[in-house]
Amino acid sequence: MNELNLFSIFISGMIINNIVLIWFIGLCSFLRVSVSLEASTGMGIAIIFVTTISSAVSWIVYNYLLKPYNLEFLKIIVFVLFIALFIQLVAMFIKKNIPGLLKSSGNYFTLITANCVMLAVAFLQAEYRFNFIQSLVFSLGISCGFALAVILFVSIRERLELAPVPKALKGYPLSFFIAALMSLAFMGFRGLFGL
Amino acid sequence: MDLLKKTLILALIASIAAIVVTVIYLNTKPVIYAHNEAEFFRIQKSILKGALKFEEIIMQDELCYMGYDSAGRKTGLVLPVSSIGYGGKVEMMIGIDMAGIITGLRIINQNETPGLGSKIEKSSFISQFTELTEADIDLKKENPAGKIDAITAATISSRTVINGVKNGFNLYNNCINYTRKKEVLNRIAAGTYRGTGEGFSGQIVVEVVVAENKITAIKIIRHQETEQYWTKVKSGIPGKILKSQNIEIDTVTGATITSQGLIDAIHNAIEAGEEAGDSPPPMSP
Amino acid sequence: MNRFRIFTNGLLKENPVLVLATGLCPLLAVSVTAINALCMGIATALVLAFSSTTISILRRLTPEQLRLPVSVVVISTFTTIVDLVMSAYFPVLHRALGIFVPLIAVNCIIMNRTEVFAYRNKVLDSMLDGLGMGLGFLFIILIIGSLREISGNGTFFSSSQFIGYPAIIMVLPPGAFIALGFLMGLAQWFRNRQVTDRHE
Repeated sequence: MNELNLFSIFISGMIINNIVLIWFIGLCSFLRVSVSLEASTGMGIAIIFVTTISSAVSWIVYNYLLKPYNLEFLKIIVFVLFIALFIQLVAMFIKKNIPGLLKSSGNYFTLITANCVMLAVAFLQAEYRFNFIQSLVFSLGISCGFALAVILFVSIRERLELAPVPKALKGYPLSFFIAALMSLAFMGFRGLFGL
Repeated sequence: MDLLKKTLILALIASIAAIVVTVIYLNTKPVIYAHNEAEFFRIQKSILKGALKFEEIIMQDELCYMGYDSAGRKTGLVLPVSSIGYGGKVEMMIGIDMAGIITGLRIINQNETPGLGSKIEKSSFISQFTELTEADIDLKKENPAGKIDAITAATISSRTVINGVKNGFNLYNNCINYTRKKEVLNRIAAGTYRGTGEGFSGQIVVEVVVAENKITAIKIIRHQETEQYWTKVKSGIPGKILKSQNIEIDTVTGATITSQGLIDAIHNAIEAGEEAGDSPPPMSP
Repeated sequence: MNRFRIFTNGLLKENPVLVLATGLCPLLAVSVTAINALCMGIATALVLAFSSTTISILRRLTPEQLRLPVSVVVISTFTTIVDLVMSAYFPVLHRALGIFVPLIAVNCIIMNRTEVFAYRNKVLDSMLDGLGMGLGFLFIILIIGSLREISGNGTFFSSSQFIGYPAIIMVLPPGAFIALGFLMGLAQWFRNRQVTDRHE
């Protein structure tokens, strides 16, 4: 993976290996976004920002703190700690400065549970042995893919609000079927640009 | 005081956690390592039947494994190769015996479409390759001389394996040549041999002394290279050859032509030794 | 609640997947075959049980502000232990589960349960709750894994193929969503019927 050029890494992270629809990571946040498109777009952008920065921090921690001392086996604990701390800081910051973004408690929870995505990015960049720029581009791609999936999902769900869905399938089952069709569509991107 | 207490508690818990994890890590690490080694050995043995020992051969940027049977005879090579498939890199290991016939093939890693391209892992596809030679490796539908049936609806993945096997044969040839050159020294009778190579500014003449199947000395008889480059080459190459007993070495950076001239001269001398190996030594030291 | 109730709570009434809709990431990703699902379920249940127990033991030591860091350290420690032990003694399974073993550390179920239950209850209760929730998760992931393997691959626990032309989509990502969607729909249907029955 680390022999690909930056564009391929980005596209691979965003579309071909979409973190939600193909890898199933970040589902808790994904399914709990609000029905409104505006709030979800805002949340998506926040997640792009947070993920990219947290991946930079993880890269530095892994390559300068863990690897030189052969402490890679501690990476789960270290990554999770750093990311949890980081998310708390960001959530506090947003609460103070952009209160509108976290209006409903659902969105606060969304940001917190996006730690799946950040942790996955941290592990993947260690596994793929990216250099710093590559890992930034990769996390940018992954988080943009997440935001893209969220925006598409919310748009579809908005339109289905008034559809006659059987009672048993309302809510989560319907969300899953939407996700299934989206996942199917995204699978069609395989082989794009030879990836 | 309260903050200090809290920090201490957290630090204590974190330390205990770190110690526990480290202990478990140190205990499982050798198990993991041993298992990986055993697994790799098992795969090698399954590809090259009859081989009991494997020797790693590292060339410039390639790698292969020579298999030996219980009597120490060479049975063939195990070659790790890869090719780009539908869903990314497909890694495989091929076993080819000393006669150039495939003894086995294993797909180590693939990311093809599950249920379709992923069928390249199945023995029904892979077993087709056993007992074939390089000329047979092609899809039946693309080359009349080919003997491989592609997997229905997975032509690209099938072709990927074909390409990988072809890469395998290239690697095979490189490996065989490399080991042959390395073994040349075993066939040279003791003696002093002269060789010439073309350097940057003229000919380089060397004398190579061989005794007990080892190169014991490399003497420079004549050269016309620029001092600056010659110093670099003289300090690097003969020493390396004497140490590794391998005449296949890299040129010195920044003095490629001079290096190659010296290396060629040494090869030349060794070849003279090879020829003389079939008859009594021409020169005595 | 009596001890037995605490344990069975996680199995049906408050099943983490069907009712609380948490812990979905590993559920969908790993359930391609029944054996993978089983191992993932066991690994998660173990981490959950041990973490709940440990956090409950430590609960008097951890003031409000330290709760999150302590949970994080404890859960990721147990995840690391499970990860190391698996890669040493069950390497094939470990490779099959891949990145999802480390991700147990941020499994929503575990983070949730420790916050909601383990910090506020006695040690034995917390252990039972952790075990119950873990088993509830294992139950569901095993069902989905089996469903997907049978319908998508025609095998069961890597047996020989007994369905000639399986629906391959079931072992691909969309299939996971479909399987879970139907399962949740079924659960919801049952619950709706219970509600209407009670009203009659």
